[in-house]
Order: sequence, then structure tokens, then C-alpha cells
Amino acid sequence: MKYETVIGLEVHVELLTESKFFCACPNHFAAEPNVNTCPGCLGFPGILPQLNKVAVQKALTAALALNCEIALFSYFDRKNYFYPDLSKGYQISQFHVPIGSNGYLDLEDDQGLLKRVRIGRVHMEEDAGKLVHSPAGDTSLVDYNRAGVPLIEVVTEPDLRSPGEAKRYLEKLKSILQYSSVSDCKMEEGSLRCDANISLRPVGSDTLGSKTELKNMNSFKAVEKSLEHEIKRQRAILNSGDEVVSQTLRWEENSQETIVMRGKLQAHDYRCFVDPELAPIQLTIEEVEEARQNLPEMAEARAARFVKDYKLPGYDAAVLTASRSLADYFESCLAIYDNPKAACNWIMGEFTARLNSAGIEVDRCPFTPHFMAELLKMIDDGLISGKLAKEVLDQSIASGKSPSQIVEKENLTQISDHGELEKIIRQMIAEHPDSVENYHGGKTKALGFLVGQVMKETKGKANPQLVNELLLKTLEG
Amino acid sequence: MNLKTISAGRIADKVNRGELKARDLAEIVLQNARELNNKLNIFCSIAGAEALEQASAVDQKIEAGICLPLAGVPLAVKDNFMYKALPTTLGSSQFKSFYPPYNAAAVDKLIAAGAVVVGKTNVDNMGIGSTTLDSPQGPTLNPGDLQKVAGSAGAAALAAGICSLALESDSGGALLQGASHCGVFGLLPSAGLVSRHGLAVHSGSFCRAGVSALFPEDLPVALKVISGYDPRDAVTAACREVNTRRDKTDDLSNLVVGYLETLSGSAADPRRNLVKDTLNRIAALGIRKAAVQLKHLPEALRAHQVIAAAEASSSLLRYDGIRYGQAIEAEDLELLYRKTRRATFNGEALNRSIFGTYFLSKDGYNRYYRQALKVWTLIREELKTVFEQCDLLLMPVVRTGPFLASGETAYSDLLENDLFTVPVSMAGNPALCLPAGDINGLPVGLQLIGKQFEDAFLLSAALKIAPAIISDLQGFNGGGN
Amino acid sequence: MADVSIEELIKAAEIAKIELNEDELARLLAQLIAYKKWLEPLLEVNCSAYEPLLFGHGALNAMREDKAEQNTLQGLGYYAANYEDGFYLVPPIIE
Ligand SMILES: [Zn+2]
Repeated sequence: MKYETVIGLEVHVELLTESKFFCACPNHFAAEPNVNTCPGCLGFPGILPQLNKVAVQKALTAALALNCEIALFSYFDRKNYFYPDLSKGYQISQFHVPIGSNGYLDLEDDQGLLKRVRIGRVHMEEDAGKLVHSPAGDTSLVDYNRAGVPLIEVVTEPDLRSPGEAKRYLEKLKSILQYSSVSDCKMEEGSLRCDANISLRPVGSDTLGSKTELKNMNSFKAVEKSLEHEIKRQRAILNSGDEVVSQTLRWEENSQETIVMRGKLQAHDYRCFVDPELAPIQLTIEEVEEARQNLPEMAEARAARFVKDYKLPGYDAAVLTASRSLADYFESCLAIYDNPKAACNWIMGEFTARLNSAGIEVDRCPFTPHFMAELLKMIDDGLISGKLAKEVLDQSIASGKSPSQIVEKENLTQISDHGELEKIIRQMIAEHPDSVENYHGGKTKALGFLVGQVMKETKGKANPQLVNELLLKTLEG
Repeated sequence: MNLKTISAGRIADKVNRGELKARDLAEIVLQNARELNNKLNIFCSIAGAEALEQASAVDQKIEAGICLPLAGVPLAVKDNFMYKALPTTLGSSQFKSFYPPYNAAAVDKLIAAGAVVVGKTNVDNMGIGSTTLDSPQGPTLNPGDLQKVAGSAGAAALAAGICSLALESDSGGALLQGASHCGVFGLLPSAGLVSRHGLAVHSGSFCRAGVSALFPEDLPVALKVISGYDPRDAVTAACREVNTRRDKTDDLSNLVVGYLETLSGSAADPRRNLVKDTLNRIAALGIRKAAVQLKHLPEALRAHQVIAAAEASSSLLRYDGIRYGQAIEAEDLELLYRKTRRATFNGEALNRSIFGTYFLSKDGYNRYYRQALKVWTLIREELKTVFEQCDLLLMPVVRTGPFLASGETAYSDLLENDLFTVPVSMAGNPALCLPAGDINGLPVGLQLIGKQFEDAFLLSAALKIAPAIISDLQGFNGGGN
Repeated sequence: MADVSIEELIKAAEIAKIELNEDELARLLAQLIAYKKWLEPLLEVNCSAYEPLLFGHGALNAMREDKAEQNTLQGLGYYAANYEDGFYLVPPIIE
């Protein structure tokens, strides 16, 4: 039988704030356990929640960017359950009235056609801590650094039809949330987490089959892989005439398979009710409209602007704007360097390649846009060759030193001094009379050999174009 | 010095003028506290050096020319308010050596105003209850009758003459009932007027901080010290915009005091007569009376029970033995939770943890919880209507006298106990319990209820009315000494 | 009330994670039966004209500025029964 895949995604995104949702603890990654904790996020008696204004604003921004209807009046509920990473025994979450609902996101389906993925809700909630299991298995360790970090949960309707669509949805969501400064969406660091609901149904059927929930995917690729794996697994079950058991599965990256989860995440009665310790949120229409007006330019609009203003090819503009940080990098570079095409080529090519192989994020790379502009200017001024520039780039990324510091220290500046070069050229001509003869005999290849010899003599620092020019002049003259 | 004959205001005056050293007073008071505590079981812990240091600090400030509104005033603090210097037991044996790392907002403010913390007063397990029968150290005895409970250990500390002020909490009537049973003045301020930061809140909707005193004139001073917006308690944001409300009464003849035309049949007769007598005395001052109705008192009581249990079942989930409190060792997490939580809770806290879990389950929510929330709306509407007909409402505080200290009380009596105190709890109004007479040799109070955030008006009116009700102040303070 | 069962009570105790022995269960069951009977008048009120109350307090939009402050209280781990190398320890959990 032919089956259709039905996928819905629940994405948790950490909001970019200075402090946590309900206490003043810093909201940033900490290497040491439990350093970003206080009596509030540790659930000590007598500490009441204090709502972070910026977290609410960012959630509103996200809901607007995802085309949601905004609940002018919303509030927080308590979702009650026991787990050691949950310090109060309940999670503060918007259960009854999410700040955003009935949104959507448009993307390309597998046939390349535009499709609309409905977003059922965008709601705010606090994160839980983290559990680490001791290698010996005799104890579990709890770290509450992440407890109380502000999150939004973005829930799609079951509108996705393939793992590829799911991946594109995530990429689009990430881009929008990054562009609107809602989150840095770093899946590897856990600031974006994705759970997937997946079921199969016979093509043409409009009832949903029984679904499984997939967890623990640590990259977009893992989401795609786990969904592909789950489709195969469910299809095999259905083909053999069995029924898919509705359960939560955990993706194992090492073995590339799913296993059934035990513990907390099985069905629960969360006993949700209004948290009486927090004040509800009342937004005015004016506030919402202002937030809507202030939505930043998103990827598509920015790419269009790059094409128009910087005369970049559409493909290049799309690559540069795929992530906000790369597009920001490009434009920061252009603020002090005025050749967009050259900057674009270097950023998309050499720079991105090095970031990828080193696994560094653009915004954490020591090679700043300022350095890039400096490097490009040195090439334009003929101070270094393109080849040398790549070396300088490597060294600068490794050491954090500026290109000019490196060029100066390593004495890498190109020899563009005519007198000096003419001296070397005359010396090479004297040493290779055969080549000179060959050249005059019509063998133009000999010219290349002689240029090579000059470059070798200067350890590559000669300006190759100038050498070519001067050599021709000497030979012909 | 007999604290029963001198108000907190006069103590502060003497200390501010240098006529009395706070430190000298503290030494006497602590000695007195230790002696009387053996008899009455008022304190979970009595301060020592900390109190003397506080008193000395007050004396130094006075010498430096600073004037403090509560200079040297001996203060009792209920043991569900966090106070760094002494253990905060929350009425649980699992917390007997829990020294919190921070002070409650109200404690900080009272200390800054010059008060000296004499000790932490006995509390029902997790602060839930109005008898102290659910305390691991047993109930606090009523200074007026040692066979009976005091209801509130703070009120007992006042009635016994150990302290001049008591910092109290209330979620269904503990503060007012305790004041009634002990013959002291108890003020339950409007919901949202006093920060609950550092109070172990088990019901976000109903828990409030308040204050009791031996002399009514001390209440406005104490209230001024502890009230006001505190960003650490979101609910206090409600009091930011209310400074335009009435704050004093100039002419008693403009005042209308409402009374319940039909008291619930369960109210014992002497209490009904007490209201009648009091009304007559008030009328003699020129104040007008107005008969009003609260038709759904019994239903409100039940709704309050359901909501309070539901909220407690959630708020008490944090006591899991992992981050603080004593944990019962277990190899398995489930057992750790179950044993630790069993050891932490007893009495009403245990009941609410379980019944409240049921009220929030799908079944219980649809059947009880949602209905309770509707009745909550209803009783607030009724009170709103009442206050369209009067400025203040006078009604009983307690249904019966204090329970037996032996704990032999019928479950149904316990359930009915908060009948007259839940309306205020549910509607957020301020209420003042003032001693109004004696029944069977024990003091009995009545409550004057005001509109929300008209606490100052309520106090101002009450101070004018009080002399007519209380002919002999000293006579009301039980028989502590 | 007929619908009070020991199973209901046991389930609630399990969710609340409180260990109860036979005697306690029996006492609580008796109380729950009495309690539910006592609650009956609540269910009889006609509340069709009333909405459930969401908040007992009138506070609205109580929010703080987004300023981070490193907690200055040292040694909160000291309050835990089992705390080692900066971690809170619990019996092993299998996910
Ligand atoms: Zn914190």
C-alpha cells in the first residue's frame, strides 16, 4: 500500500534575554554546574516568580513574525509533574491561553511549490534543568543552570509531508527567529530543540494514523534522519498488518535508530491551572501594532535588497542571508569596504569554508568584518596576492591577530618595487638563456617558466602581474 | 515592664527619647519569653544574641539621632516567614534546622523600623491551619484557658504579654481567628498590600501577610511599615494605583456599618448577641446600621476549601527533598520522593496535597474546581453588593470557641471552622478583628471589614469605634501572667 | 458519595508522591467520603450566570526589567542532602 507521511513539529526555542524568566539569574551558558541559580529558580520556599518583560516582548515578536493572532490578554498556568530537573514540581507555562495562535509559515514543498504550514500556537514557558548520569550508573546529577530560562514553544499543525519539508520548516523557522533577535537558535547548544510527531496513513485517507513522538534530535540532519527511519519502521509495521503503538521514542545518534523512552515523558495528567502568583499580561492593540511595525527585515527581503543595492547575483544574496549573522557580517564589512562582489566572494567562499571546517559560528569568529575589510583592501592595493591572502586569513583565524599585524610580522608584503623586480628579472634571464631563446622562438610557455622562477626567487612575494609586465618589457626591449 | 499596659508606640517613643534602652527591654522580654513558653508552647525558637544585637543596633541608631517608628518593639514572627537568624521550620520536622538564606520582606522592613525579633511562633504544618494542632511540637495553648488552643501562637504571644506586635499570615482565617481567641487586635490587610516575599506561600490566591497587636493604635504604624509595592511579589502591583482611596473618616455620622441580617444557623447564639450588642453600642456613636446579606457563605466556604487545596497540592510539590530540607535516603527516586514527602507533611497539608491533586485531575477539575471558581466570582459579587450599602461590614470571626488542645475535634467542626473568615479571604478586603466581649470566660472578637485598599479608612474608623466596644482594654488580654 | 473509591485515593497519593500506610489510607478514605459529602452544597449552587474567576488579585502586567544579577548567596548547595562538585545528586534515573 502507498502511505502518506504526516508530520507535526514542536519546537522549543530559548529566548535571547539577559536574565531568566522569573528570576534575575543570568541567561547564558555556563560551564560550571549550578552557578546560574538562586533561591527562586531552585524553588526555595517563599520566593515568588518575577516576570521578565523582555521575554514577553520577544515572545510577542516571535508570534507576530510567525503570522499569529495575538492574545491581548494572556497568563501563565502551572503544569504539575515531578522530575528532579524541575525545581518547583511544576513548570510555569501558558496552557490555557497562548500568546500567539493560528499562525503560519510558507515554504517550498518537495515539488518546489509554495505551501503553507499552519502554526497552531506559540506559547511561553520556562525551561527545566539538566540531568547528567554518572558513568557508573549509581547516581544522577542535576544542574539547574537552565532551570527557568525563558522559552517559546512553536507547535505546527500536522501539515508537513516529508522529512525534507520538516527540515526546510526548521531552517525557515530558525532564520525568522534569528532575524527577529528572538533566539540564536543554536541546536547544538540546545537553544533550539525539536520534537516530532509522525504517523502514516494510506494515500487518500483523511484520518490520522496513530502517531509516535520522536525526541532527542540534536541537529536538523538528525531530525530528517530520524523521521526517515521512523517512516521505514512504521511502514514495515503497517505492511505486516500490525498497528503502530502510540509512544515516545528517543533518537540515538550513534546507532541511527529510535528506542522507546521510559520515565517521565509517558502520558501524564499535568493538572494545569492558573498560576496565582503571577499577574496576567494585558497588551494593548497599540503595543501589538508597534511590535508588528518593528519586526525586522527577514531573509527574503534582505536578499532582495542585496540584489538591488549591491548588485549581487540572486544565488549569492540567498546564501549570504540564509543566516542573519552572515548577512550582518557582510554588511558590517561593507561599511568600511566598498566592493560588494569581492566581499561576497570571499565571505561565501574562503571564509565560510574555514568556519565550517573549524566548526566556528560566524558571530564567534575572531576574524571580524573589520579584519575582512582590511584583508580585501590589501589585495586591492596589491600589497598581497590572493594566494597570500588565504594564508593570512588562516593565521588570523588561528591567532586572532589582524591581517595587517600578520603581514607586517611575517614580512609578507608583496614586492611591487620596479627596480628590485627588474634586478631579479635580469638575473633570471641571465641564468636561463635557453628559456629566453625558446620564448623568442615562439614558445610562449617559456614566459610562464620565467615568471615562476622570479616568484620562486622572491618566495612568492612578488606581484605576479607586475612580474609578467616587466618580464615582457625586458624580453621584448 | 508589663507589655500589656504599654503600646508599641509608647515603647518606641521611650526608646527614641532615650528613656528606655532597647537592649534592656530585649533582655527582659527574652527572659519572659523563655519562662512563659514552657507553659504555653508559643515559640519554635526564641532569639538570643541576635535579638540583643538588633536591640543594640537600635540603641546606636537612636544615639546617632535617627528616629525609628518601632524602636525596640518586641516582635513575634510566625514560623512560615523566612528569617535568617533563626530556623524557619514551616511547622515540619523535616525543616527543624532550616536556616533560610534570606529574610522575608516584612521581616526586613519591621527590623529596619526598629522592631526586635523575639522568636519564631508556632505554626501548623506548612503554614496550613488555624489551630497549631498540626505542628510537630504540638499546639500553642490559649493564655486564657490552657485546655484550649490559642489558634495563633503570635496572638498568644501578645495576650501573654511577651511581645507587642506579631507578624502573621492568613489564608482562610488563622490571623483573625487567633486574634479573636486571644483577645487581641488582628489586622488582615487588603490582598496585594503587603509583600509576601519570604513567606512560604501555599496558596497564591489566599495567602496574605498581616499583623496583630495588643493596642489598636499600633496597627496603622505597623501596616505603614510593612505595606507597599514590592517587585518580588507581583500581586502587590495592584496597590500601586490606589492612593486616591479614602484614608480616614472624619464624621462618624456619615458612616454606615453593615451587618448580616441572617447569620447562618450554625453560629452559636452568644455570638449573634455579641453582634447585636456591639451594633447597639456603635449606634450610640451616631453611626448608621444597614442590614445586608451574604447568601452563599456556606458555599463560599466550600469553594475556598477546594481552591486552597488545589493550590496547596501544587505549591507543596517543591518539597521533594532534593535541594533543601532533610531527605529520607532511598536507592530509588520514587521512594525518595514518597518517603521524604510523607515525613514532611501531616494533617491538613497532607490532606490538601492529596485532595487537591484530585481537584485538579480531569475529573475533579470539571466537577469541583471549575464550580469553585464560579462560586468565587459569586461571593465577590455578593460582597461588592454589600459594600454598595455600607462602608464597613461587622460580622463574627469564629463559629465556636477555640478547639481543645487535646485535638479531640470532629472533622466536620474543622471543616466549618473558617465560615466567617473566608469571604474576606476570597474577596481581598481588609479586615480587623477587635475584641468585643467574653463568652464562657474567653475573649471573642468581631471583625470589621472594609473595601479593598481602604485599609487606612478601616483603621481610622475602627480606632474611633473601638472605645465604644471595648470598655476595659486590659480586661481583654486573657490571663497570661 | 458513591463515587469515592480507594483507587481514586491511591491514585492521588501516587501522583502527589506521598507514601501512605494502610491506616493512613483508611483514615483518609473516611475523610474523603465525609469531605465529598460536605462539599455537595457547592455543587448545588446555580452558577450559570457566573464565569470562573481567573485571578483573585487585581495585579496586571507586573513585570521586571531584564537585568541579570549573579546570585550573591553562596553555598545554596549546602541546603541539599546530597550535593557534590556543584551538582545535586539523586538516585539514578533511566530515560
Ligand atoms: Zn535564579
